[in-house]
Amino acid sequence: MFKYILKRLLSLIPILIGISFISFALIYFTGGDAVAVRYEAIGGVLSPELINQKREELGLNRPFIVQYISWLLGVIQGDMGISYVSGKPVFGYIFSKLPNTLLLSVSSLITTLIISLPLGILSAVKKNSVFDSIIKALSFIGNSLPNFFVALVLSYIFALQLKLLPVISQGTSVKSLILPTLTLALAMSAKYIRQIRALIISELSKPYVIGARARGIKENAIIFFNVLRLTSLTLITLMSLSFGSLLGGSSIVESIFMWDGIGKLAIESINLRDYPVILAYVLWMAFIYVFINLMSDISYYFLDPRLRIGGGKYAN
Amino acid sequence: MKKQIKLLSVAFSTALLLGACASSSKTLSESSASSETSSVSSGTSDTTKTLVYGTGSYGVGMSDAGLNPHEDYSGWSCVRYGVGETLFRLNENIELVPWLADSYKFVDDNTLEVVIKDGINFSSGRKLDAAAAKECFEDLIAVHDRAPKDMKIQEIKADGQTLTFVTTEPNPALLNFLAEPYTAIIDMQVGVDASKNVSGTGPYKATSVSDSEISLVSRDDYWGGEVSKKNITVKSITDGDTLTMGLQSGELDATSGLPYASYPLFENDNYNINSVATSRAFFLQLNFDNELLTDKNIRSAIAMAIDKEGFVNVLLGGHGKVANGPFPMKDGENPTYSFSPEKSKELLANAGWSDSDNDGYVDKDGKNLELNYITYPGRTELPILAQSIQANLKDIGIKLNINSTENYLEVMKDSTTWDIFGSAMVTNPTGNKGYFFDMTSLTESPKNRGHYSNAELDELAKTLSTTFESEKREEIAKNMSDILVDDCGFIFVSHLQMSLVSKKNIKGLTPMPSDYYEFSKDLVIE
Repeated sequence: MFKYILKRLLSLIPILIGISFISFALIYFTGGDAVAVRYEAIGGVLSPELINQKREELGLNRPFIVQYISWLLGVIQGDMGISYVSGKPVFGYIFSKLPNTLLLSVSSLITTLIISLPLGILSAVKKNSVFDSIIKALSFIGNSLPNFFVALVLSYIFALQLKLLPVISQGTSVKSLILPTLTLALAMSAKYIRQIRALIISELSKPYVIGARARGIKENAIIFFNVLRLTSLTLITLMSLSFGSLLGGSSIVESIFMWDGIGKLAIESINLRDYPVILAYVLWMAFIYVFINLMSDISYYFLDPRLRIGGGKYAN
Repeated sequence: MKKQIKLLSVAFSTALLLGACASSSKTLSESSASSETSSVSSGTSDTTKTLVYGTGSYGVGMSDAGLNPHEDYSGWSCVRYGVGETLFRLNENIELVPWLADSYKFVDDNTLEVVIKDGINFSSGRKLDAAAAKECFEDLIAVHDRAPKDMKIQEIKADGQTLTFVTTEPNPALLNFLAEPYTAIIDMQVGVDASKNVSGTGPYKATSVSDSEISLVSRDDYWGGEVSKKNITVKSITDGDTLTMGLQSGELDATSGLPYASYPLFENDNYNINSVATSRAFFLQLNFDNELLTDKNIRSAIAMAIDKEGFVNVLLGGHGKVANGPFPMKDGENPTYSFSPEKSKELLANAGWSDSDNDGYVDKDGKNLELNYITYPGRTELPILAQSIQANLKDIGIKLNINSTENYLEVMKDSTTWDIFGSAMVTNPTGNKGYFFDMTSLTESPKNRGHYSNAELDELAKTLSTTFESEKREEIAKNMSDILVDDCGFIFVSHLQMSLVSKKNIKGLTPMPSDYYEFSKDLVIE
């Protein structure tokens, strides 16, 4: 098990180098002049000499491969460069936004499970009933609505009409967290309800369920102790992907609610061609996806006895 | 059991939602109460009112985060929010008037002497004299990117309240640059702290500064008169809908940068909307590398086909002013090229363009008149302007292909990819009208994208750069503007109208055409 984890962690190195090289090349060859774009964006005017001087200061006049190797050597030593826009060290800058994004991700995922798990199970158990039809219709609508629209509707209801919650984040507080959490959770719940429903229906038609029923085991016991346990592997995979995506930040939702997270930073950096921050963001995304996949693989080992007993790939 | 599961899940979800709302409701009302009625500082309770101001114009993305005037465009924040002040300022007609300066005189072409008003203190308590100003200007010249080239300072001398600038060459625009926010005078003995806070001479003092928020308190020792006691929080809000809902919900007391579509929501007795036309112009540059556009008939036809009134009054909802040149038109002035599609068609016909195949587009030698228009979505008005012009030109038989891209600078490097460039620019940021021509329309200008060249204009620019008398400078600038407009190498469509929207109880929040000054001592919360 330990060897497996070590192997997976080591495999991160070539993946991160490959991703960083491709990202660096894409930015270098297609991204445009970071200095010119930045000053144009704010309506400023710099003379060609000053633009050149700034490019020189930022090392942008060097050949591509020199820039990349210099950047990579810096990253190995924990130095991801300086943000062109804020002038702050990128490492500290991007990770200062992480607690907010982490908080929003965890709260959204928990809320999603709280909404989707009971509704998905009930929908499956009451397959083809009126309740099931309503839930199906709602999850269809939920899937169709873009996040920004849900955000605006929720803001309108809870902030403007009911005056219960703030539109603008007032720092990291519970009241500021509710609307962005609900916005993200409603969209994810719509997807999860359908997935959970389909998984449960599929499991309920399997022979072990029919056998359990024949032995007189109660329906709720079958669902909670057998069906849910077996569907948890698929659910964990789904949650891992969602969690990875959430940790990358939800730029639209963070921007609308002024939630100071990684997604908002990423979109601002892309608009301003802040390449060191964009590269750090890409590396972060690559890291979390590989890391979370590893975590979900490890969790399979504990949840699925087949992997622990005998032929499991972690057995050695 | 099924019923139990159902009841349990419904009850749990409802409890979660209501519980969250109830707790937040309590905290929100508590917070709102504190912002409106009382605040506690240094352990003693007082009744200082707080104004929460939302703006899309502050933050890292605007390069004006922090209050250090010697860094990027942060001087704008320093002056806008009433922390710093400059020796001169621009009045409501974008004319220079003394501010911290009492008087000035050009001793010779290279020497400017400014006497600073007596009795002014920084918020740190230090007196503002020429020595303090000299320290500030020396730091500015040492660290700022644009100031050295703009000001051309060789030496600064201080004697009592008299500050003397010696320049490397005659620089009539030096006075104008002394109104540029980067010349806001701060106490260099206090310096700039880690959060980019500074000590200035303005009516407000910052108590905390971050990339997204500034907290200000009014000063009770302001040299310019009494400042009503209040706290101000400036919040950076980049999303227009959030800004709108923030003002509607009462979380914000005042805003700048609302989307055009939101204004009707506030056109009622509960809000004040104060507007002013600025020198930010929306204009087109024509590409002279395209031989078609070297024909003045075609350029004039395009100029007369554009319905500027329609753009301003319908598409911008009246939040703009029709332009006839780089600087806002004076009352009673008429556009050189007024909207006339019929006249445009005549001009095209004179140039040999007619719709011979009845496809709706004019053609010549079997080829339709088709032009490529490039712009960027960074300013919301620009893509709208592009579509408006596309419809206008279609009416006279010109086909316009629009490319609205953030990557426009890269695309424009290949001059065959575009014919018309739609952009926006503050044409008169410091009252020095030569600035616009220097930047965009002289043969060697850095922003002369279409390679426009006019020998007469270049010559006038040289004369302007060595002329000190303000009336003569104004006259030269007017001639230059007339030449540019008449030539149709540049087509000016409209000027931006800036509006500050506030709750009815906020008084004295008045926008200025130069866009530098927002919070003054006259800002009052009733």
